[in-house]
Amino acid sequence: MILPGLRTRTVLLIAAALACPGGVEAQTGGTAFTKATVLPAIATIGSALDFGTTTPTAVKTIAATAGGTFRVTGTPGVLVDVSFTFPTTLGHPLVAVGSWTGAQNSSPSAATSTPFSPSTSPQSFPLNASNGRLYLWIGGTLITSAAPAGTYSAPIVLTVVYN
Amino acid sequence: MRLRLTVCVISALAMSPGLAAAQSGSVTMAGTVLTAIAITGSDLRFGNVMTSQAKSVAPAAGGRFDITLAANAPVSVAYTLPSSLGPQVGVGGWVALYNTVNDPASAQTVPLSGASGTFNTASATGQMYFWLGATVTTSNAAPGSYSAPITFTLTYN
Repeated sequence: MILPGLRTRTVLLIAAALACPGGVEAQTGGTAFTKATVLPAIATIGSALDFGTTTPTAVKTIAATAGGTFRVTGTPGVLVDVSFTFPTTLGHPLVAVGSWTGAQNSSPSAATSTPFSPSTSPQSFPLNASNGRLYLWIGGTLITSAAPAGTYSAPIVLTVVYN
Repeated sequence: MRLRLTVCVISALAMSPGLAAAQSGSVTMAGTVLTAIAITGSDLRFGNVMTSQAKSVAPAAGGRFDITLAANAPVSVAYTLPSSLGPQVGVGGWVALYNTVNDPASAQTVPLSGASGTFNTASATGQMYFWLGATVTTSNAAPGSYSAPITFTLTYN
Protein backbone atom coordinates (compact mmCIF):
# COMPACT_ATOMS: atom_id res chain seq x y z
CA MET A 1 0.00 0.00 0.00
CA ILE A 2 1.28 3.40 -0.99
CA LEU A 3 1.22 6.02 1.70
CA PRO A 4 1.97 9.25 -0.12
CA GLY A 5 1.32 11.44 2.90
CA LEU A 6 3.84 9.65 5.05
CA ARG A 7 6.38 9.64 2.26
CA THR A 8 6.01 13.36 1.75
CA ARG A 9 6.50 14.14 5.41
CA THR A 10 9.65 12.07 5.53
CA VAL A 11 11.18 13.84 2.58
CA LEU A 12 10.42 17.25 4.00
CA LEU A 13 11.92 16.39 7.35
CA ILE A 14 15.15 15.29 5.74
CA ALA A 15 15.26 18.38 3.59
CA ALA A 16 14.63 20.64 6.54
CA ALA A 17 17.26 18.91 8.60
CA LEU A 18 19.85 19.47 5.92
CA ALA A 19 18.81 22.98 5.11
CA CYS A 20 18.40 24.63 8.47
CA PRO A 21 20.78 23.45 11.16
CA GLY A 22 23.80 23.39 8.87
CA GLY A 23 23.89 27.16 8.65
CA VAL A 24 23.91 27.50 12.41
CA GLU A 25 26.64 24.95 13.06
CA ALA A 26 28.89 26.46 10.40
CA GLN A 27 29.23 29.74 12.29
CA THR A 28 31.49 30.19 15.26
CA GLY A 29 32.37 33.27 17.24
CA GLY A 30 35.28 34.06 19.48
CA THR A 31 35.80 36.87 21.94
CA ALA A 32 38.91 38.45 23.39
CA PHE A 33 39.09 41.57 25.50
CA THR A 34 40.86 44.86 25.19
CA LYS A 35 42.15 45.82 28.62
CA ALA A 36 43.83 48.83 30.15
CA THR A 37 44.45 50.04 33.67
CA VAL A 38 44.50 53.77 34.27
CA LEU A 39 46.77 54.73 37.16
CA PRO A 40 46.95 58.00 39.10
CA ALA A 41 49.05 60.80 37.63
CA ILE A 42 52.82 60.84 37.95
CA ALA A 43 54.47 63.85 39.57
CA THR A 44 58.00 65.02 38.82
CA ILE A 45 60.21 67.59 40.51
CA GLY A 46 63.56 68.66 39.08
CA SER A 47 66.63 70.54 40.25
CA ALA A 48 69.13 72.07 37.82
CA LEU A 49 72.34 70.58 36.47
CA ASP A 50 74.62 73.49 37.36
CA PHE A 51 78.03 73.76 35.66
CA GLY A 52 78.91 76.77 37.76
CA THR A 53 81.45 79.17 36.32
CA THR A 54 83.84 78.41 33.50
CA THR A 55 86.26 80.21 31.17
CA PRO A 56 85.47 81.25 27.55
CA THR A 57 87.27 78.17 26.24
CA ALA A 58 87.03 75.14 28.46
CA VAL A 59 85.68 71.64 28.92
CA LYS A 60 83.89 70.98 32.19
CA THR A 61 82.23 67.74 33.23
CA ILE A 62 79.74 67.21 36.05
CA ALA A 63 79.22 63.62 37.17
CA ALA A 64 75.66 62.36 37.23
CA THR A 65 75.62 61.81 40.97
CA ALA A 66 76.63 65.47 41.45
CA GLY A 67 74.38 66.78 38.69
CA GLY A 68 70.76 67.63 38.20
CA THR A 69 68.13 65.62 40.00
CA PHE A 70 64.62 64.49 39.14
CA ARG A 71 62.25 62.99 41.69
CA VAL A 72 59.39 60.96 40.23
CA THR A 73 56.34 59.94 42.27
CA GLY A 74 53.71 57.51 41.02
CA THR A 75 51.96 54.26 41.85
CA PRO A 76 54.21 52.16 44.13
CA GLY A 77 55.92 49.18 42.59
CA VAL A 78 54.94 49.97 38.99
CA LEU A 79 57.37 50.16 36.09
CA VAL A 80 57.71 53.50 34.34
CA ASP A 81 59.29 54.39 31.01
CA VAL A 82 61.74 57.28 31.27
CA SER A 83 63.01 59.31 28.31
CA PHE A 84 64.85 62.62 27.95
CA THR A 85 65.15 65.51 25.58
CA PHE A 86 68.54 67.16 25.90
CA PRO A 87 69.80 70.48 24.60
CA THR A 88 72.91 70.61 22.42
CA THR A 89 73.83 74.12 23.51
CA LEU A 90 72.97 76.37 26.42
CA GLY A 91 71.48 78.92 24.10
CA HIS A 92 74.65 80.00 22.32
CA PRO A 93 76.47 78.02 19.60
CA LEU A 94 79.81 78.50 21.38
CA VAL A 95 78.42 77.03 24.60
CA ALA A 96 77.87 73.38 23.75
CA VAL A 97 76.71 70.67 26.08
CA GLY A 98 76.54 66.89 25.69
CA SER A 99 78.01 63.54 26.78
CA TRP A 100 75.09 62.97 29.11
CA THR A 101 75.33 60.46 31.94
CA GLY A 102 72.70 59.20 34.35
CA ALA A 103 72.11 57.40 37.59
CA GLN A 104 68.90 56.08 39.10
CA ASN A 105 67.67 54.80 42.43
CA SER A 106 64.37 54.15 44.16
CA SER A 107 65.79 55.84 47.25
CA PRO A 108 67.24 59.38 47.41
CA SER A 109 70.83 58.17 47.82
CA ALA A 110 73.10 59.05 44.90
CA ALA A 111 75.85 57.01 46.55
CA THR A 112 73.92 53.77 46.09
CA SER A 113 72.46 54.66 42.70
CA THR A 114 72.88 52.65 39.51
CA PRO A 115 74.36 54.28 36.38
CA PHE A 116 72.43 54.35 33.14
CA SER A 117 72.77 56.06 29.77
CA PRO A 118 70.00 58.64 29.49
CA SER A 119 68.38 58.58 26.10
CA THR A 120 65.55 59.86 24.01
CA SER A 121 64.43 56.22 23.84
CA PRO A 122 62.33 55.00 26.79
CA GLN A 123 64.03 52.98 29.50
CA SER A 124 62.08 51.16 32.20
CA PHE A 125 62.69 51.62 35.91
CA PRO A 126 60.56 50.50 38.87
CA LEU A 127 59.02 52.94 41.27
CA ASN A 128 59.73 52.33 44.93
CA ALA A 129 57.37 49.63 46.17
CA SER A 130 56.57 51.57 49.33
CA ASN A 131 56.37 55.23 48.39
CA GLY A 132 56.26 55.15 44.57
CA ARG A 133 59.42 57.24 44.26
CA LEU A 134 62.20 57.14 41.65
CA TYR A 135 65.25 59.38 41.70
CA LEU A 136 67.23 60.24 38.58
CA TRP A 137 70.52 62.12 38.40
CA ILE A 138 71.86 63.63 35.19
CA GLY A 139 75.41 64.73 34.43
CA GLY A 140 77.01 66.14 31.31
CA THR A 141 79.91 67.99 29.74
CA LEU A 142 80.00 71.70 28.91
CA ILE A 143 82.33 72.83 26.12
CA THR A 144 82.96 76.54 25.57
CA SER A 145 84.87 77.77 22.51
CA ALA A 146 85.69 81.47 22.83
CA ALA A 147 82.25 81.94 24.29
CA PRO A 148 81.20 85.44 25.23
CA ALA A 149 80.77 86.10 28.93
CA GLY A 150 77.27 85.64 30.19
CA THR A 151 74.81 83.35 31.86
CA TYR A 152 73.44 80.48 29.80
CA SER A 153 70.79 77.90 30.36
CA ALA A 154 68.64 75.41 28.49
CA PRO A 155 66.01 72.91 29.59
CA ILE A 156 66.38 69.15 30.03
CA VAL A 157 62.97 67.56 29.54
CA LEU A 158 62.14 64.34 31.34
CA THR A 159 59.15 62.32 30.15
CA VAL A 160 57.77 59.57 32.37
CA VAL A 161 54.90 57.26 31.50
CA TYR A 162 53.69 53.99 32.96
CA ASN A 163 55.16 50.98 31.20
CA MET B 1 21.43 28.49 -1.10
CA ARG B 2 21.74 25.21 -2.95
CA LEU B 3 19.93 23.34 -0.21
CA ARG B 4 17.11 25.84 0.00
CA LEU B 5 16.32 25.57 -3.74
CA THR B 6 16.12 21.82 -3.37
CA VAL B 7 13.58 22.14 -0.58
CA CYS B 8 11.35 24.32 -2.76
CA VAL B 9 11.20 21.64 -5.44
CA ILE B 10 10.23 19.00 -2.93
CA SER B 11 7.54 21.22 -1.43
CA ALA B 12 5.96 21.80 -4.85
CA LEU B 13 5.71 18.06 -5.38
CA ALA B 14 4.26 17.43 -1.97
CA MET B 15 1.48 20.02 -2.18
CA SER B 16 -0.05 18.41 -5.27
CA PRO B 17 -1.72 15.21 -4.12
CA GLY B 18 -2.57 14.23 -7.65
CA LEU B 19 0.97 14.33 -8.72
CA ALA B 20 2.05 12.47 -5.65
CA ALA B 21 -0.35 9.66 -6.41
CA ALA B 22 0.22 9.32 -10.14
CA GLN B 23 3.77 10.25 -10.67
CA SER B 24 7.06 9.75 -9.09
CA GLY B 25 10.12 11.89 -9.28
CA SER B 26 13.37 12.32 -7.55
CA VAL B 27 15.76 15.09 -6.79
CA THR B 28 19.23 14.83 -5.45
CA MET B 29 20.02 16.55 -2.22
CA ALA B 30 23.63 17.22 -1.48
CA GLY B 31 25.23 18.69 1.57
CA THR B 32 28.76 18.84 2.82
CA VAL B 33 29.39 18.80 6.51
CA LEU B 34 32.58 20.68 7.26
CA THR B 35 34.84 20.55 10.25
CA ALA B 36 33.47 22.61 13.08
CA ILE B 37 35.18 25.96 13.44
CA ALA B 38 37.01 26.45 16.72
CA ILE B 39 38.16 29.87 17.91
CA THR B 40 40.19 30.80 20.95
CA GLY B 41 41.05 34.38 21.80
CA SER B 42 43.70 36.01 23.93
CA ASP B 43 43.36 39.56 25.23
CA LEU B 44 44.91 42.73 23.89
CA ARG B 45 46.52 44.18 27.02
CA PHE B 46 47.62 47.79 27.19
CA GLY B 47 48.84 47.39 30.75
CA ASN B 48 49.16 50.53 32.83
CA VAL B 49 48.44 53.90 31.32
CA MET B 50 48.38 57.45 32.64
CA THR B 51 45.21 59.45 33.12
CA SER B 52 46.07 61.29 29.89
CA GLN B 53 48.18 59.31 27.47
CA ALA B 54 48.23 57.59 24.11
CA LYS B 55 49.71 54.09 24.23
CA SER B 56 50.02 51.72 21.31
CA VAL B 57 50.45 47.97 21.25
CA ALA B 58 51.66 46.40 18.00
CA PRO B 59 49.65 43.47 16.60
CA ALA B 60 52.44 40.95 17.19
CA ALA B 61 52.37 41.84 20.88
CA GLY B 62 48.62 42.34 21.07
CA GLY B 63 45.49 40.24 21.08
CA ARG B 64 45.25 37.03 19.11
CA PHE B 65 42.62 34.69 17.72
CA ASP B 66 43.59 31.10 16.91
CA ILE B 67 41.15 29.40 14.56
CA THR B 68 40.83 25.82 13.38
CA LEU B 69 38.56 25.09 10.43
CA ALA B 70 38.28 23.00 7.28
CA ALA B 71 41.24 23.44 4.96
CA ASN B 72 40.60 25.47 1.82
CA ALA B 73 37.01 26.23 2.81
CA PRO B 74 36.04 29.82 2.08
CA VAL B 75 34.77 31.64 5.13
CA SER B 76 33.52 35.08 5.91
CA VAL B 77 35.00 36.74 8.96
CA ALA B 78 32.88 39.31 10.75
CA TYR B 79 34.62 41.42 13.35
CA THR B 80 33.53 43.95 15.93
CA LEU B 81 36.09 46.18 17.56
CA PRO B 82 35.46 48.53 20.48
CA SER B 83 35.99 52.26 20.15
CA SER B 84 36.01 52.87 23.88
CA LEU B 85 37.00 51.01 27.03
CA GLY B 86 35.08 53.44 29.23
CA PRO B 87 34.65 57.16 29.91
CA GLN B 88 37.60 59.13 28.52
CA VAL B 89 39.32 55.88 27.54
CA GLY B 90 39.19 55.64 23.76
CA VAL B 91 40.68 52.89 21.64
CA GLY B 92 41.33 53.04 17.92
CA GLY B 93 43.97 52.82 15.25
CA TRP B 94 43.28 49.12 14.93
CA VAL B 95 45.76 47.04 12.96
CA ALA B 96 45.13 43.37 12.20
CA LEU B 97 47.49 40.77 10.81
CA TYR B 98 46.53 37.41 9.35
CA ASN B 99 48.46 34.25 8.68
CA THR B 100 47.84 30.54 8.18
CA VAL B 101 50.85 29.73 10.32
CA ASN B 102 51.65 31.00 13.79
CA ASP B 103 54.10 33.66 12.68
CA PRO B 104 53.19 37.35 12.88
CA ALA B 105 56.45 38.30 11.17
CA SER B 106 55.30 36.80 7.88
CA ALA B 107 51.63 37.75 8.33
CA GLN B 108 49.74 40.00 5.98
CA THR B 109 47.77 43.05 6.99
CA VAL B 110 44.01 42.69 7.08
CA PRO B 111 42.20 45.68 5.59
CA LEU B 112 39.86 46.78 8.38
CA SER B 113 37.00 49.11 7.59
CA GLY B 114 35.87 50.80 10.77
CA ALA B 115 34.79 49.30 14.04
CA SER B 116 32.97 46.42 12.36
CA GLY B 117 33.07 44.71 9.04
CA THR B 118 33.35 41.47 7.12
CA PHE B 119 35.93 39.99 4.81
CA ASN B 120 36.34 36.67 3.07
CA THR B 121 39.29 34.34 3.31
CA ALA B 122 40.33 30.68 3.38
CA SER B 123 43.18 28.68 4.80
CA ALA B 124 45.04 25.91 3.02
CA THR B 125 46.38 24.67 6.35
CA GLY B 126 43.06 24.64 8.21
CA GLN B 127 44.57 27.09 10.67
CA MET B 128 44.12 30.85 10.88
CA TYR B 129 45.82 33.31 13.16
CA PHE B 130 44.79 36.91 13.64
CA TRP B 131 46.84 39.42 15.62
CA LEU B 132 45.31 42.70 16.72
CA GLY B 133 47.01 45.88 17.82
CA ALA B 134 45.57 49.29 18.64
CA THR B 135 46.10 52.55 20.48
CA VAL B 136 44.41 53.44 23.74
CA THR B 137 44.00 57.14 24.42
CA THR B 138 43.10 58.43 27.85
CA SER B 139 41.99 61.99 28.45
CA ASN B 140 41.67 62.84 32.13
CA ALA B 141 40.40 59.31 32.69
CA ALA B 142 39.60 58.19 36.18
CA PRO B 143 42.00 55.60 37.61
CA GLY B 144 40.65 52.08 37.30
CA SER B 145 40.55 48.99 35.15
CA TYR B 146 38.81 49.13 31.81
CA SER B 147 37.95 46.49 29.22
CA ALA B 148 35.75 45.88 26.20
CA PRO B 149 35.20 42.82 24.00
CA ILE B 150 36.59 42.12 20.55
CA THR B 151 34.49 39.60 18.64
CA PHE B 152 35.34 37.54 15.59
CA THR B 153 32.63 35.40 13.96
CA LEU B 154 33.49 32.96 11.18
CA THR B 155 30.93 31.46 8.83
CA TYR B 156 31.51 28.98 6.05
CA ASN B 157 30.46 30.51 2.75
